[in-house]
Amino acid sequence: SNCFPPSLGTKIMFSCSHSDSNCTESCKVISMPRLPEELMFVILTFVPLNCLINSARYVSKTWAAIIRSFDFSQARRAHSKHGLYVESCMSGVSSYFLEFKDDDVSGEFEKTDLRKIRNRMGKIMSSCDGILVLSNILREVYVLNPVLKSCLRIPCFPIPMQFMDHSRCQCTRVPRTAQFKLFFGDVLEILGVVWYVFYVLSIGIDNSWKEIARREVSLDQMFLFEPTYSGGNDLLWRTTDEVIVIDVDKEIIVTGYPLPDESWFASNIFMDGESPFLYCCQ
Amino acid sequence: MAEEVSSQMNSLSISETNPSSSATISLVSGDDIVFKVEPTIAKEMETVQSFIDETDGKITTIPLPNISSHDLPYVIEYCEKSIAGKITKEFEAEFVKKLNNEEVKELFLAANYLNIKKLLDFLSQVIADRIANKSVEYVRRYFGIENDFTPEEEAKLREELAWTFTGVDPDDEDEN
Repeated sequence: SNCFPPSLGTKIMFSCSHSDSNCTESCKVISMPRLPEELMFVILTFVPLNCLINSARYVSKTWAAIIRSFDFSQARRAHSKHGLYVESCMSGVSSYFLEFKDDDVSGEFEKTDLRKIRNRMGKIMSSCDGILVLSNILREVYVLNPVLKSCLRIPCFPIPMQFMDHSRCQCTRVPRTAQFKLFFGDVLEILGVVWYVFYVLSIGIDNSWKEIARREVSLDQMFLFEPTYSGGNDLLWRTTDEVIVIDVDKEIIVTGYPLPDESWFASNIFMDGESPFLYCCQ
Repeated sequence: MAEEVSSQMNSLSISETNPSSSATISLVSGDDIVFKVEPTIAKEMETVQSFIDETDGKITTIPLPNISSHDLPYVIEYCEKSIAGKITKEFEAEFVKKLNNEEVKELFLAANYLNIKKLLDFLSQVIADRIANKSVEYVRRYFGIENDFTPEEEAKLREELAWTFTGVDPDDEDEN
């Protein structure tokens, strides 16, 4: 688990000021050694998240920049613990989140009752890097950060709720940023022509869904699978006859890969690392 | 007090030296106090070990001008426990109990200088714990950092994460 930035390899020398004439013997005691930035970085990777959010990032511009940086979020992953979202199906019982506190076998965890945030959180529609997208029986959609115990209501989907297919919603993260986006795909008939239509919503920024692209359905059989996403910048959608690739950052269709005819009855695509796969039973 | 500890540590190290084993390594602190340690201890300190390797083991006296005789015994103690596989939570708790904030920071720098990853990780955690529930002001004092935010900049920063704390309807009490 290499969680140190490469710059740590350089040795830091004690800065010892002799300007004080009382510094007699040797420099035995160095008062208030100033820690260099790369060592601050190391320490901050050990600081609890709520402390980073509530105090550490207000300490100085340097600290704020470290905490905001991509390298820092990567380094913290080495210390991050797994958690479980437990959905309650019973009335009067709230859903909760279990965050494991220790990486040894003691099995300690912290239970976060989500009732304080929202009585009914519902089912997970999608998740990405610890951010959960939930939908409850009132058809409300929430984005939840269970570690920060924070939550955001997502504006209504661009289609009537009774037609909403939640499996076509995907939470994504723009690589190397803290920006999360929701993508949603739908099949629409407009004036006798059938389209695949794609929408995006930047979490915390947009107040409504924005259409980003539409693609005419070229065959009689139209079907849009669930999106496939493995954390990068590519969001894949399998249709009946092609794989559409959406650029998460730029919010455009980058390309469409036609599928061979015999793949009609194949599975949805799935990702193994960066490589997409398609299973076909014949 | 520091002298006492280091002389104790000195005698301890010498008495434990097995004459038939390979030559001991002499670590010389910044204030010219010699600490004799087993070669296995030196191995824990990557900086020292690479120095030994570079000279094909001919040089066994290593000056460590950046580390005081006050800090070095602590480092050696930790390395000894580490080799013996006796780093327990109890040991670590005892270990830091003796250290004030200043000493923790000095040891942290020493661990970085000597490149002892385990000790560095451990002390990072100690420092992180000591600032975890403290005010911004306290953290600044602890590290000797000046506040370089203007009030406007700070307000802007506080807004940055605003989405995570707003936009939620008040919870209604119905059972639906």
